[in-house]
Amino acid sequence: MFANLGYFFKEAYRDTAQRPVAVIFSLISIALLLLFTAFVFAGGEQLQWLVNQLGREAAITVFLRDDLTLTQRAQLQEKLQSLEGVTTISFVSEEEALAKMEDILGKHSTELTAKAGFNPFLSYFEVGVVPEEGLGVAGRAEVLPGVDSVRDNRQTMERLTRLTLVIRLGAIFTLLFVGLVMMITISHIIHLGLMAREEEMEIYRLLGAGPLFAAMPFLLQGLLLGFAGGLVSFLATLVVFPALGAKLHTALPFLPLQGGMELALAVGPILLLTGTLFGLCGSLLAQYQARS
Amino acid sequence: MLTARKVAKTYENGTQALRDINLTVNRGEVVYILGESGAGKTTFLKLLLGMEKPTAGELVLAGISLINPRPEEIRRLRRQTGAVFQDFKLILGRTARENVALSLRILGVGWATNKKQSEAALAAVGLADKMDNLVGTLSWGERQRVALARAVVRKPQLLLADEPTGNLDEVSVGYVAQMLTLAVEGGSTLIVATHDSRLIERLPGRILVLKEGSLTKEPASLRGQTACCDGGVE
Repeated sequence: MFANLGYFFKEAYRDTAQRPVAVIFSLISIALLLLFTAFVFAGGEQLQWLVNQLGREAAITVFLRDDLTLTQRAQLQEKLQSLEGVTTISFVSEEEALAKMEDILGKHSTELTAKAGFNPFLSYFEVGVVPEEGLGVAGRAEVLPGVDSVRDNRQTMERLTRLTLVIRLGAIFTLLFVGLVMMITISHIIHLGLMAREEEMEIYRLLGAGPLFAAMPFLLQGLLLGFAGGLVSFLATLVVFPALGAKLHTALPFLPLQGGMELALAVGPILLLTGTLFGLCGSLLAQYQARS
Repeated sequence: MLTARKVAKTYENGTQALRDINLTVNRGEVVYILGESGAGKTTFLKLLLGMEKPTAGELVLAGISLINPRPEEIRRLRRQTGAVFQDFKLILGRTARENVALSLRILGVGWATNKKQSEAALAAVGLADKMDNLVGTLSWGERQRVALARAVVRKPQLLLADEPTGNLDEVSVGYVAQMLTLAVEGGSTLIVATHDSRLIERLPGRILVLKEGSLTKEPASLRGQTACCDGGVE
């Protein structure tokens, strides 16, 4: 079988070249379908990245009451420091809180403070915690004297994790749907080739060829068509994702988003593998239909 | 090589193509099956290639029973066989060289050997200058010779030919006879369905006559070498 590998590739090319328009349209369809899948997968990847980043931060914010004296603030800091699970603690004044927001929101922040007529931010402690202790520390800090409120990112993380799961599940369903459509598209192309070469197949059999000998060029054709579709969609993500990533970063500068190129490289193997696998399945489907 | 005992073939529409065929063919033997159109010659060759199954009797070829063979047995048999079909069964959109090379490719012969042997086979049938012509552009006689080259190139144990010289001129018959002679000298068993005495004159062999599906005695007008068949002769 290996002695004929070159021949099988040549035959696969010959058959593809006989139907260039149909093949090009199939290739475009496959690439678009896979590009759609890439967007769904990239959405899941992006959310997972966000969850990981937030998880890594593992910090709670302890907002202080307005009327707190310097002595009371120092006592509170000591009490917070002594809580189990606290790793670091740093004070952020009202002015620093405003400056931080200005860094993130730029001129929009100035507009907001101008409308309010005063600095709406409270001073707070940024308390670094051991990730699994975050909720416990928040609960104990909330009841300490001088504390206005406590905010931890646990709830946000949990919501994001749930959303990630939903999107990933959606991606799997999308993949199955896209795979099915791809299989039908490729099997149709292969079926045309099989029908056109029915007499040749009969000659192969009369000369003693096994089923694999006749099937190999068509298996390769489906495999290569699927791989090519995957490759085209992957190349498209290399262009589209970085451009889209840059726009997202400008629109949502406060979110720690993954770079577009990294996302494209992450979904690339999925696209190539999916294309190749479903291409092969499409070819097998065509051969099964032809036999039955 | 071949043993047939009371072999019969009846088609679903009731047509009895072969009846009570008894025959033994030894390895390296040359056997001609003569008969008018519709006598059952092609059907008999189809049985030997596993294209049809006998409806009665016992038919064993190269150790394989053809009564109810498994697909892999049929493949094995066909790989040991070279066949020249009446309608050639060539791929018209491929060159003569590609058609002949396909025969060896199925046997797994490597590229270089395949090329060398395919070219030699085509040269032997006088088509050295037309190797790269599409078969569809070749004349009837040239196609017949390509089909012969494809059958002979694999040095088969059994060579089956259905009217290999039909409609051929004297020169082409010479090429065909020469190729068949070489194949027999190389150890192939040859079974030819024909009614062309020019071939029999050039390559003598045992002559069988099929008439209305049954084997009959050898006609005196032909220079057959041996008796027609063993047992069951009318």
